[in-house]
Amino acid sequence: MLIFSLQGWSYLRPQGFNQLKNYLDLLNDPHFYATMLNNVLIIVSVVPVVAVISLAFAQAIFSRIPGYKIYTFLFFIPVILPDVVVARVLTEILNKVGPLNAVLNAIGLNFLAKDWLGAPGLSLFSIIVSLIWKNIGFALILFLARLTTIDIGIYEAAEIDGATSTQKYFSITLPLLSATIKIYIVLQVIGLMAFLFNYIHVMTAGGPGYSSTVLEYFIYLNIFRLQEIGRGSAAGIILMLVTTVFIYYFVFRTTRAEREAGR
Amino acid sequence: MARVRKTTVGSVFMQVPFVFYSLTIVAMCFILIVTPFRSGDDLARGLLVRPTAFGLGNFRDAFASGLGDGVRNSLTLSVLTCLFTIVFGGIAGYAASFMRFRFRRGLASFMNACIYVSTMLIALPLFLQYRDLHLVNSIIGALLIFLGLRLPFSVYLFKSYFDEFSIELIEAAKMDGVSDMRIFWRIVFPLSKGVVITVLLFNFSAVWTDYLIGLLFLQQDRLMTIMPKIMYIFGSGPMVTHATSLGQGFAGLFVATVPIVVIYFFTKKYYVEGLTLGSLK
Repeated sequence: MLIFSLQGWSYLRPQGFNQLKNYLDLLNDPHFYATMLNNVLIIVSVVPVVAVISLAFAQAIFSRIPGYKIYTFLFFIPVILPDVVVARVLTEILNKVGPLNAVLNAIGLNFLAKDWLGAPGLSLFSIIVSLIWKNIGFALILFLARLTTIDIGIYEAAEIDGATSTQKYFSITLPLLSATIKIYIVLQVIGLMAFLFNYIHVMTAGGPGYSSTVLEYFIYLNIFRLQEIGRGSAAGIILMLVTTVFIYYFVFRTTRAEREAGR
Repeated sequence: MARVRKTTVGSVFMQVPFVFYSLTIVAMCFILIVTPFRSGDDLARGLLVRPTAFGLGNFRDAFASGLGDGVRNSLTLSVLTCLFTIVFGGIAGYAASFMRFRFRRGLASFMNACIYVSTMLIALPLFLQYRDLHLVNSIIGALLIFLGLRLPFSVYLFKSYFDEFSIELIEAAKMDGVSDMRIFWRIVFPLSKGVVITVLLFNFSAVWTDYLIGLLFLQQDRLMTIMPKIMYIFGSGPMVTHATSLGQGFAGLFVATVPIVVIYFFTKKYYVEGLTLGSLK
């Protein structure tokens, strides 16, 4: 890939090296910046929103909110539905004449009925909401699994000392969850950088224009659609460098835990 | 510790986000399950309405459009991938966990890192090699890609599971001169039912729901896997929808989704185990 990114290409055949021309092309390509900005927007909106919602859900389910059994059953469904299926059904739901707008019209919110995937400003927003919807359950599973391993004695001790439930949450639960939250953030960022193709390709094909293109789709577009192999590979190298930082953190952490466990 | 349940304004208010999120999930399931059984005319009335006409016409049409090929190809690839990843992944996991050799930890970390590399980055170099080797549009070629993509995670799951085993048992067997292969097949493997189910589950669904590899490497009509096939049946882009292809497409989504969702609900324990394994150490 690194070698490909340094070569000139014609009809899927390399035509010799051209130093850093592909990278300079990339830096002069306004679409590339739009793409990177979309990636950043997706990450900074999906990750915190999903984290906060699932933390609240996890806490409520853990303290056995009425109906928690039904909720744990239902919230598991989006996690196991395949990406492509979710993306395809949401495409229909968000369609201009689809059910979402029908519901909005029926309850008198006509002004909110929009062309969710077809309008340049809205398509990225729709994808972000879809990703939030899909990923809540995954974070919920991680947080719930951690919550169930916390020793209940800590809370009883805190109660004797007269701690309020808010104090208990922020001084005991959150610090104990912090490692899991970190892992969640790393996994989610990798997922949003490197495994987003299905949603984009099915829901908007990066459009309209480049308004919902992300780096991964940009690579696909350049390599397999526009035959700009050099430029696509250069973008690929950049994607690899960015994700490597997160992967390194994750793998390093696991290896260190193993070493401490003496394996 | 008995919990007192009070019905206060606060606890009712707490239910609002739960109910809202649940409603969106129920709506999604309703559309996914009911739509394929409705006729084309009925579908023109919208997706989230009370259906009036039922029938199996959409399924018949979808299979006439080649959904069967998609199911067969995906099933073949999923089953073969499962088989090979269990055997090779198990052996590699055993080696990574119990055998002492140079770079053991480094290799394991490298495998671990491979799990998270974007498939898109692997696609171009592979595509060019496959074109030269004439492996594009071949089931064997696609199988090799899936094995490459799924093995790192399988090895990782096996290794994490084996790490919990008592090393003394293995050491004792080795002292008695039992070969590693025998230890693996006779002692370790029969004790690994849980992890085998987890690996099967993850790999089957990953290959079954794959989109990108199928899209790029199996483009011929007869060789398409199920997800690209469904998108092909849906036809046109997201903006144009015809009632006939819509019904067929949803029949495809139903066939692709419902089996794995049912399997997941019977094996939820193993799925959650696999998800949380790496993150809770």
